[in-house]
Amino acid sequence: MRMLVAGAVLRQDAANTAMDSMSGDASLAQPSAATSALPERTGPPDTVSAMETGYIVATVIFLAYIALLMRRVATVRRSP
Amino acid sequence: MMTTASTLEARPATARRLPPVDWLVLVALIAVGGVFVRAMLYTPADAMLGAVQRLFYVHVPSAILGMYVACTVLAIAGGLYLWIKDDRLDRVAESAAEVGFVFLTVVLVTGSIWGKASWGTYWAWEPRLTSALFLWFLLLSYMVLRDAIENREARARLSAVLGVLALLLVPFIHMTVYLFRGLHPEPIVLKPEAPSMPPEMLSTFGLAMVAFSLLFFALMRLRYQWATARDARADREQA
Repeated sequence: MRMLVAGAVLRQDAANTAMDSMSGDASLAQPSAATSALPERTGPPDTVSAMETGYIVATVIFLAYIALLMRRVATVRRSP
Repeated sequence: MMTTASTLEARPATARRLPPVDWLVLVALIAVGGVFVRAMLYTPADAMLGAVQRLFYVHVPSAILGMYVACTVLAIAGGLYLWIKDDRLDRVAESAAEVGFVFLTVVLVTGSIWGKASWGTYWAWEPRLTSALFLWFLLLSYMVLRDAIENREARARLSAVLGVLALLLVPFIHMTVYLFRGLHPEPIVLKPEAPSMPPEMLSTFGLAMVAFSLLFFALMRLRYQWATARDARADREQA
């Protein structure tokens, strides 16, 4: 719903800009600040950082356990 | 039967010399690393959730191995130990519990990160998450119980009972998404119908299952070898 509203604002603003350009007034032809504050969002959300965090944490857990096992094995091997 | 049991019980653990580097763990790590690269770089992202959906290739294989496989091995080995009293079965059971605990930790952590991105919260007290946390605590209590008991026979017997009971929780955890209303989605792979995934995602998942299974059994094997060497050393010290 928000995306549709944002899109409608963008389209309305683009129409106003085009009309101002036709009227020849350069100062009115500049896009308003409200347009850049409401970008039209398309596609899935950006969750790359969450994915990377998950893979890093999983790697750390597995490697930490392997290190623990290696340490135990080394301790047993050193014993007489 | 009693004679056999007592003979097995009395037999000292014989430890083979442990290699400096476990080749199976190395191969498993390379396989899992390859799957990570394929999943993150060459597998399409979900249209709704985005890149975080790729945690599926860590979360689900870890859940299948840490919950279904590890708890089944733990219960079968524990149950057989109660029957024939072979120390090797006790070592298999303790290895399955510890490795399963590690895999289940990965499940809970990756699930929380995924949940934050898709539900807006790291944790919700909903049936699937809560029951999985119960199983995590049960495996933790299994390890704490083993550490608390000095006598080897009593430790093996009591922990075997707990191991068998842990398996009873697994079907309940599986059914929570059908029995209760919650946030967790229903199974995509472990269901009577065919998996509901595109082929390119399914192939990555298949490779992830192979790599994680390799890692699971490599860690089980190393943990078992260490337990055998530990028991052999204890036997030498007692002699």
